[in-house]
Amino acid sequence: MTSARPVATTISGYSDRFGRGSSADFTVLSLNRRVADLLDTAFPYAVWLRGELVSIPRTNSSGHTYFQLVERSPESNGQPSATIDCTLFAGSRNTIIREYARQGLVFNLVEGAELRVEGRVSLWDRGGKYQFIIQRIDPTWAIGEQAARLRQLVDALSREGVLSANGELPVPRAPLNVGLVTSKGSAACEDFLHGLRTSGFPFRVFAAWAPMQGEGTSEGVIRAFNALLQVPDLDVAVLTRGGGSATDLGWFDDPGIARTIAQLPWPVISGIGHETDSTLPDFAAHTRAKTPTHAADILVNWTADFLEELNSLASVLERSATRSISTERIRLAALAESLTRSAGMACRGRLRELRSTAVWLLSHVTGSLHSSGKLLERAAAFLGPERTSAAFVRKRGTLAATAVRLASAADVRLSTTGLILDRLAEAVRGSDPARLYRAGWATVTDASGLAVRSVRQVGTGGTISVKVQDGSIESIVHRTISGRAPRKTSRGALRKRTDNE
Amino acid sequence: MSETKGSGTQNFSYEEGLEELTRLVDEIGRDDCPVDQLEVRVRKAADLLKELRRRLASTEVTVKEVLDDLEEKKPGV
Repeated sequence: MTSARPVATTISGYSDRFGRGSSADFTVLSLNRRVADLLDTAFPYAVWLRGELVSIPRTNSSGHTYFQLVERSPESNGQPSATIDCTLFAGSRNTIIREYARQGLVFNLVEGAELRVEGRVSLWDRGGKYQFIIQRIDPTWAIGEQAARLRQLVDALSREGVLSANGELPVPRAPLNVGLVTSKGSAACEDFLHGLRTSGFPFRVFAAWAPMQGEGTSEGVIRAFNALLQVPDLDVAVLTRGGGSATDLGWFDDPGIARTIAQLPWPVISGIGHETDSTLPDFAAHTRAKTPTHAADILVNWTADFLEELNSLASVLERSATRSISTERIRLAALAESLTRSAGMACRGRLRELRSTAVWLLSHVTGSLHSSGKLLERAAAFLGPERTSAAFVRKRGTLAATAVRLASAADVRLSTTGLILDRLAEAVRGSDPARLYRAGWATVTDASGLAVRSVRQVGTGGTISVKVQDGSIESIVHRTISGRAPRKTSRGALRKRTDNE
Repeated sequence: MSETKGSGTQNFSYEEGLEELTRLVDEIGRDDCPVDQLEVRVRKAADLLKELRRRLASTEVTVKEVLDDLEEKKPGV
């Protein structure tokens, strides 16, 4: 304050140069109060202030919230050209929340938000800092023109199905081949790559550089995605950039980018700006990441999940295989035991049968032998010498008597038989032809040698031969006389000669 | 299943062998099993059992090798 010059000596606290000091000197507190009074005088009423919220709001235990608003200008190359500390007391905060609710909005102070706030310029005399005490926040300004446009785009593209297309693609199991669309050499690129490198997984990144702000953003991003389509076996693509102003991020709110994402064959992770930023690619992408680092984390987590799943499957496989082998081993052991038991029982069973049979046999044979012995003993006793002699005498007598009866019967039988034979011999003898011839019988045969047994057998003038004892008489029939032949000649072979023949 | 299982050629599956072994054990355990057949069947069953145990042990070794191989190739650990 060496250049400051006193403007009035009548005002308390102003002094002459290098004075020794007096009660008229300002103290820190009195000076602060004085400045505060001047501010009150200069801004007697609340004023509206516009700015971008750059610092993360900090809320203390009393519910008071502190943050900074900045102003950016094209000349400052995106850097804040002015900053002001803001305070939102708990009481005002509740009023603002209610106001937002009436507008159908949720009050949420997020970094990067463009705010229009009403309040008073103030200086806290003890701190000596100048600040803006917020009393109201314009909710319609909070969503802003850019936000309203984004909302319209989201609604329209949703109706077309553009925003859901990429999200319907399945999550890649192990997204190791990664396409990257970002600005070359940017902090976002480094953060993303660093996240992948530290994971230890063998990611392969195919980068397609594109401007991440300015007019060429949309065209560059679409061209980069098309370039990635030439990479074979790509698993996933990441579109990312770091935080920035709403204006910077607004370049991404282009329907062309959303439509391109909708047509890509692999999932897209959108990590644009910070956690509180929303751009159109966030809605069109498969997965939204808060930051570039978070985009890398998502890929790492997917891969880790896949690896964990593989390990889990390997464990299941190991348990299943081990359990199957154990089960089979138990089954074989049971069969082995059954086999041993069955074979043993079968052998013992047969052995018991044999023993039982042997016992039975022994018992029965012994009994039988015993019985037989007794029987023999009884037989021997029965066949004693005396009884045997008497029996033999009786038998001899019987045999002798029988022999006598046999001889007698034989004689009778022989006598009878002899008589029969004699009669039979006589009969035979009586039938002898020689004897008959000698007795005067003859046989008559016709010319053909047939025996003549009837007068009808020969005719008058026929020849017949008459056989007698000593020869034959050849005769001519001059007359036949019918009549009965002698009974002796019933067979007709022999005919006793008659006188008239 | 072939008649020569458990002793000669072994062109039968584990399940077939197990089924045959179970059948033999059942037969041996029956009262009507002829004594002349007892020795043959017990020997056959024992041979089968030995063969099945051998196969199981071999399978276990193979499975362990495969799983160990799997363990060694886990990436990123």
